[in-house]
Amino acid sequence: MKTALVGFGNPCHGDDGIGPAAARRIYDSLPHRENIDLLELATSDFGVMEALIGYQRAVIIDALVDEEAEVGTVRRIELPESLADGHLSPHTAGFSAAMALARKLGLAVPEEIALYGVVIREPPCFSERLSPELEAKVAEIAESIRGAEFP
Amino acid sequence: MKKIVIDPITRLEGHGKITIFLNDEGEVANCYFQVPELRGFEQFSVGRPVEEMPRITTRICGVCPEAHHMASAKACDAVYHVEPPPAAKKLRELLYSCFFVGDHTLHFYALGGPDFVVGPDAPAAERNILGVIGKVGLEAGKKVIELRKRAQHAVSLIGGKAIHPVTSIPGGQAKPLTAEERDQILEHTGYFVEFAKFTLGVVENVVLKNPAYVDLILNGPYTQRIYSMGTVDANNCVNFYDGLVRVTDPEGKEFVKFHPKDYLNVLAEHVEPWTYLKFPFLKRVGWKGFVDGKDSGLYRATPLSRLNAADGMATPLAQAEYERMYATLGGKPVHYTLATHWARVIELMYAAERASELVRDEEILSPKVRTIPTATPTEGVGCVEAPRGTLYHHYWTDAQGILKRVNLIVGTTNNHAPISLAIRQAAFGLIRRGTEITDGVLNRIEMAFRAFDPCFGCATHSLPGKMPLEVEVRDPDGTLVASRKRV
Repeated sequence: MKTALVGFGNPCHGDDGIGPAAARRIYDSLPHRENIDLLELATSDFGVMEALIGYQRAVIIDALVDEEAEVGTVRRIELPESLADGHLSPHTAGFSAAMALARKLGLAVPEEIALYGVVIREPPCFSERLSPELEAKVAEIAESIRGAEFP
Repeated sequence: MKKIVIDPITRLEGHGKITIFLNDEGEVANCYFQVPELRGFEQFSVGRPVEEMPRITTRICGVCPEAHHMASAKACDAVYHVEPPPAAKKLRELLYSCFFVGDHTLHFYALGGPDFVVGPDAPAAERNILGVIGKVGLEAGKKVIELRKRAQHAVSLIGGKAIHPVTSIPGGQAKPLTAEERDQILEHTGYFVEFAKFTLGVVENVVLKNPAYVDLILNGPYTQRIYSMGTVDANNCVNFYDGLVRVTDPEGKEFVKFHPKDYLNVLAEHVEPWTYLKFPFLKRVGWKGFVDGKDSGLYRATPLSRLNAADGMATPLAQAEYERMYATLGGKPVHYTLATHWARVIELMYAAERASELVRDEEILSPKVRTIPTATPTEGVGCVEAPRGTLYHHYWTDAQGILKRVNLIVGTTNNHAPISLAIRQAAFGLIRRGTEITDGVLNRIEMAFRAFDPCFGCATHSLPGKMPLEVEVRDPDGTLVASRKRV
């Protein structure tokens, strides 16, 4: 089974770069990387769908803004079932719609998708660094996802 | 598995918010469009070597990194006072044309299309790209995917990477094109032109043959008679990569044509206390508020304005459709905001034809793709037409090429005031005393916003696809009457 380990986010947007940072860490820690590709994606959600063509499984790590949760909290997120929920972004189709389209067209996109959100605060400005608070938790974040997805 | 509401998911693109205030009679009293934009890219850049900018600025935006790459490379050329060789300019324009093909396609089928193909009042669950495919046919969806794949491949062959190109550098390109790569792109461009023909057919058969849609374009509350901006070549034809910036007045007469380096002489920025984002306007006309007309300095920088500001298209099939659009919509200029979708498809055809021309040019294979910079770096402006409007990069460096100051005007910033005006007009036109605020009404207000293909925050996007736009209607006490929010 060919797996895409996707770090989704912008590494120049401070804590928004947690997806690529965590995915990289997980990938580097894997003893066997055959059939696992690391994809660091800072693109539209339609672009993510296009990047997943040819994979049977995808593990996606994204940043998640939630003011009420502790920074660094990892959540497993379920993709919306209804396209009425989040079916459009101002530019593209929305990830759920893009995946639904791909399946309808018979494209070889993953049947199995695990989407993780890592809680961050709104990035205040452009930065190539994670905040010290989040940086201190990257190892723990990566380990929790690695343990669940790549035991 | 626990299902959670993701609100807000990753703050990436900017959460647009439209707030409509009603008076005691239930009519629209005021309307605001706000964007909490992620700021500070200019400051982030200061202190860096200027030659890093073509790579770094692609990280501003996950939607149009190619546009920033091009504008930045051109600004670097200007900073180093260097002229890239002809082959380098052609390679850049070829890459850029392929990018435009992919970008305009996605907007038409995923964003603009649903309102027209499925209908503005259709249930939200159907008003999406799947709904479009349901109406136009499964084959159309396959064509879209194939087109996007080919466009990305062409960009990667020239730019080194499909999403964040890296090969445009001060003085030219980092690598020439091989004959084998040229042949692959040649094949792709043939597909692009056929696809553009197909899409023009969709516009004709699905939109223009439907009297209700034509009426919506012509008579809906979507008309702003303002100035039009766009880059033109020596023949005053639309060009995305290079030329002079031309502005025409609401009657279609040339108001000004200027070299991009002089943009600060032409444009000024207005500030409002209720939004971070500034409102550029034509300095010589002045800021008169959110009003249209010749005395108001508002201008539009969109596919429609590019066509209005030009005398025509430089390629035959795009020119034919250009003439047809103006003949159909009552002559030039056109100020119907919803016609921007048609203009975008005409630009799609132009980009396809232009790519096809460039890839056939024998000079495209020239190994001379860079002029090594030797002059002391100082200051420079780079400008291209991004899909969403004219994009300016302006850099100031010290003698070692370290950035001292950066100023960017991104495509959508040009359109901030017109978007605000368009939303206000739509709200005032659609919500009257006693109007029931349905999802369809709020969607029709969003349509005014969507035609601009706006990009705020200029970043990557959220998963799993939240639309970061919220529409609220409040009564005179501030109580929420209706809202539409994508979660």
